[in-house]
This record gives sequence, structure tokens and C-alpha cells, in this order.
Amino acid sequence: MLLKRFLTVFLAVFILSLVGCAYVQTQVKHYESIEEDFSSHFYSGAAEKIEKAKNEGKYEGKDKVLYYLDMGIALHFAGRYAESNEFLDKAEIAIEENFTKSISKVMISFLLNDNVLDYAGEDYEDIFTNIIKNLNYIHLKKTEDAMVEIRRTNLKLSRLQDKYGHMAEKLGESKKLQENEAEFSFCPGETNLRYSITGTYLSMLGYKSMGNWDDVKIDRRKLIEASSGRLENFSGEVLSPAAENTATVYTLCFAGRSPVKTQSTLLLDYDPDLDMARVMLPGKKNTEINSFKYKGDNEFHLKFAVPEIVRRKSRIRHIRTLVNDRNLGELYLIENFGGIAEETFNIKKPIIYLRAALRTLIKATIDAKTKEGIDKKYEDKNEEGEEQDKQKEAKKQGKNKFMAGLLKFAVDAVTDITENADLRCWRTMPGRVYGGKIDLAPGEYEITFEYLDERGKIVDLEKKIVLIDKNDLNLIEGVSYR
Amino acid sequence: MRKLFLLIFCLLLISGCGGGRTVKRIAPDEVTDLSGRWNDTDSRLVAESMIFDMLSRPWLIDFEQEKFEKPVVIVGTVRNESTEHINVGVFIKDIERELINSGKVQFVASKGEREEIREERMDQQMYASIETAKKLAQEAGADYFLIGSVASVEDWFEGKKAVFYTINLELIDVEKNTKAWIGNKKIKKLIEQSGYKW
Repeated sequence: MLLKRFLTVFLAVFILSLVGCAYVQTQVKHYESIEEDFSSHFYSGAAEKIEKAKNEGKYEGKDKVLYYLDMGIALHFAGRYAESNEFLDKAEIAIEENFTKSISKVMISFLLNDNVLDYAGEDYEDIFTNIIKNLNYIHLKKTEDAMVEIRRTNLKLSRLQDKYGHMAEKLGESKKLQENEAEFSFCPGETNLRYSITGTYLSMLGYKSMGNWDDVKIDRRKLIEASSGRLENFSGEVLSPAAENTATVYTLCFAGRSPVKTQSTLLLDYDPDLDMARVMLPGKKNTEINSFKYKGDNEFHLKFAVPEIVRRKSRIRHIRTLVNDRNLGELYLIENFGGIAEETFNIKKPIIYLRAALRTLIKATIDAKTKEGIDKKYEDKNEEGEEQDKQKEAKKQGKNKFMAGLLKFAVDAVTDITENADLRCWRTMPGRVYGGKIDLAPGEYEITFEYLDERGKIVDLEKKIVLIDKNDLNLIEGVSYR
Repeated sequence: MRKLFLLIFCLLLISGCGGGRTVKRIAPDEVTDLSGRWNDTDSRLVAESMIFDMLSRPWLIDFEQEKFEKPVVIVGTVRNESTEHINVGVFIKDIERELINSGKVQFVASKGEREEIREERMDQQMYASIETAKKLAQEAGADYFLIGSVASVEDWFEGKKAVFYTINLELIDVEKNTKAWIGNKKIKKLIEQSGYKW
């Protein structure tokens, strides 16, 4: 019977390992070399590596949104705009489809973890998809299609206004409840997420190029509101008419990398034989193991794993534009996606933590019940052993103890293997966006973007030969992931 | 415990289940609303109904009574002002087909097509025999110019989406710059997406 139970647990561990790490753990290892290619401007190479990673099963079906997003952005920066749009279209459709949640997957997620769920993308990632598609169409000189993307961005932003407006209402109600001494409430944080500064900025430029001045005014107002007045002067400058016999050239540069999620884990162990409980916080720099006296009846083991959002370091602090080696000043910081990622995460955090707590509780209950069963069986064996001679009894007891220990270890292993935080996010998305405007007479120019650190030292450099046409939107794009 | 493992196994099995792909041939005019986006059916139905409306208005009779011939029409640009990437080329072709097949108007090739034909005619002047080479400057000038736009308004909340398309076509008298006809067709779609599936 004991062997049967052991085999059951072993089988469970085996099935879980067969199901694959991807199902119980976010796969990020393959991103190392992909991100290296992004940093060294080798975007076609990055696209090839993403494709290879997909063929190696690094992007499961549930992660298809991430695959499409990664491919979309790699191909965009590689200058393969039409292909980039194909992937970003698929990403958008997949995000829309993932509104429908699979009940079976939700149930499994309570037994395993949130990694089994289909990744639906964050709101800011969804909007950034349209921003990149808009840029793709601008580069392809398909103004009408670029405007479609602008309208889609605005549509999504108005949806967010409804969504977060609704949340704010709930928050208000919740605050009222708290004032009335409600014991327990989960409130989303107050948010500015209903705005996409970059989306609104590009929308403003698009409407300006079409001559829709009413829409330009609306977008400018939104831009000022979303940036709390920070972009008032900049937007005024951008909208100022070009000098005589010149064309307006808009510069747009992406810098750094978007924030990522990391795992915070808490392990709690209790052994009634020792009357000691142990708390471990692995994954931290200084691994802490704290033990404390505790008296309980049942042995238990629990793992609580939750994601945390972490900004990634970037050496770039300023971006300088040079036209034919002539310094034309620095670009203006339009938006930092790090703040949006943090805000989005903070809104969802209470729900993520609540789900993780529930899951931990379910797993700890299963863990405790299984161990209780193992102990009971172990005691049963002792009773059987009373009729035998002492030597045989001791030998059998030792054997049973070993088996019981092994079984309990397997039970804890299942808990540990399956409990992981969902760390999925669009890791190849840039971190910040800068913009500027210059007036140039129509013709061919060499435009250089110098990416500078806080001391003004050049960290990265991009040179582009561009043709300025008075009838074009003339948007010059740059990027550095350093 | 065994029941629990059985449950996990069943859930894993169910979540992994997916139907295979089947292909079925259907009539091209059969309505296929899959995603709720603008599709071939919308394009065809809008073209049919708008051109029917256009050809049943007084401008046509007035022209025929005045000139004793069928008016020459050209289809210009149909702008996409919607929130979807609509292939306006397909819509323009549907309009052209309806116009030609009506037999009530003469139809000239579009700008791009005309340029291609002009090239061919120029080629003929150099390489074709005198008997078969087509003459230059014999093109039929259009009497009316048809332009339009497709716009959309979307409203969405928690899995329910209402899309309202409004298609405007305008027939402009090339000589007088007056508008002979304005047509409008509206389509409203309600798309519901369930929040949950098994």
C-alpha cells in the first residue's frame, strides 16, 4: 500500500516534469542571447533566435502572444515592417481571443500556478502593439493604414478609460466601506493608465499630417493632461509650423529595456517532532533562514511564490541628434514605460497575491493531508509489527520510516516544483521613448543619434541616411537597448 | 488522494484537447461572419445596395434625357476611415462590377489601369502594325466621379462589442463639380465574446 502511494506521488512528479517546465515555470533563459542581439542592433539575428526558441518549445501555445510580440518588435527594428505587422496583427487577435478564459486552465492554475494560463498581455503591451504597427505603416508610407492604427490606439485608450473608470468607482465604494469599518477589502490602486502618452503623441502627429486640426487640439490636450503638464512646451514646439522652405522632421528614439517580473518566494516548514518552524526566503541575495519555536499537531510545508516588478538598468540618460555632424540638441523624454508597467502590476497585485495565497492554502492542505495519510500508514505498520520479534520490528520500523520520509519528501517536491510565480511579460519591449522636431530643407541627410550616459559619454550610436520630402511625415526612428 | 490526482490528470487532458482542422467548400456568396470584422459579405452587400440606390435616382434619367447617351462613370478613391484595415480595393471592385453589370452606365478604367493602358497604346504606336495600332487621344472622358469613405464607430464593454460602419459614396459631376448623388449605407454588428470556455 505504502509503495503504491509512493508510486502515485512519484508518478505525479514524473507527469509534471513531462508536462514540462514551461507549464509550471516561466521560461526566460532563451531571452539572454536574444537580448544580446537587441543590444547590439542585430535584430534579424534576434528574430531568428526567437523562431528557433519557438521551434524548441520555449514558446508554448499559451505563450503565443509573447512569441508574436517578440517577433513583431524584432522585425520592426530590423526594418522588415510588413512582416512585423503580420506578427503584431496575430498578437492583437490572440490578445483579443484571450479575453475568453478557459475554466479548465483556471482550475489547473489553482493546483499548479498561473503559468498554465494563456498569456493575454498587459494593457500597455496591447497599446504598444498598435504604436509599433503605426510606425511600421509610416515607414511603409501607408498613411491611411497608419491612421487606422492611431484610431485603434485611441479606441483602446477609451476602453481603458471605461475599465479604469469603473475600477475607480469600485475604489470609491471600497473606501466608503473602509470608512464604515469594513474588515477586509481589495482595492486597485488609483491609476493614470488610461493614457498612452506615446500613442497620443503619434496620434497628434498623424492628425497634423492629415490636417485634422480639431483632432490635433484634442490630442494635445490629452497629452498635457496625461503628462501632468510636463509636455506642454514640447507639444507646442512640435506643432509649430516649419520654417520657410523646410520640412518638419520628427525624431523618435526608444531607449533601455522595459521592466521585468522576478519571483519572490517564501517557504514555510514545520516539523512537530522538533517543535520548530522554518521560514526561508530563497531567491534573495542574502538567503535568510529563520527558525522559530512552534507547537502544532501536523507537519506542513508551504511555498508562496509571487511576482515582483523590477526596472532594468539602462546607461542611457540623454539622446543627442546630429544632422550631417551638426549638433541639433537633445531629445525630450516622452514616456517611461517602466512607470506604466509598475502601475499595471500594482493594480493587479492584490488579485495576484490573493490567488497565490489561495493556491498555497490548497497545496498546503493537500500536503498536510497526504503527510497525515503517510503517518497513519506508518503507525498502522507499527501495530502490525507488535506481534513480531524486536529485531525484525526495528528493521521493519527503520524501513517504514525511510519510506515515509521519502514519500513526504516527494510530496514537498511536488509542492515546490509546481509553485512558481507567473513572470511572463513582453521582455523585448523598450523602456523609454524620446522625441524631437527639427526643420530641414528637403534633401538627403546623415542623421546620427548619440545615446549618452549621465556623464555625457556616448554609450551607443546610430547613423542613418534619410531623404527628407516636404510631402512626407518624415519620422526618423532610432533605438538602443543599452 | 487518488481522486485528486485523477482530477489533475483529467484537467490536464482536457486542457490539452483541441479539435483538428476541417475544410469545407462553400458558395462565395454565403455569409461567413467569423471575427465580426469587415468582410467580403459586407463589401458585396454594401456595393449591391448602394449602386442599386445610385442608379435609381433622378440624375441618371436627367443625364440620358439631356445627352441621349449613357453617362460615363469612374470610381475614384474610397478612403478607409475606420478602425480596421479594410481592403478597399475589394470594395471598389465590387462597386465597379455592380456598375458595369447594371448596363445603365459606361465605365472607364481606374487611374492605375488607365496609365497601364496608355503605356500599352504608346507601345503599339512603335511596335504594332498601322492597321491594328489603337489611336491616341480617343479615351472616353468621365462625366461622373464616384468617391467615398468607410468609417466605423466601436463600443465595447466586457466581452460585448458593437461596431457601426457607415459607408458614404458621392457622385460628382466632373464638369460642373456638383454633387449628383450622395448615398449612405449603415451596418451595425453586435459581437459577443464569452468570458469563459471549458
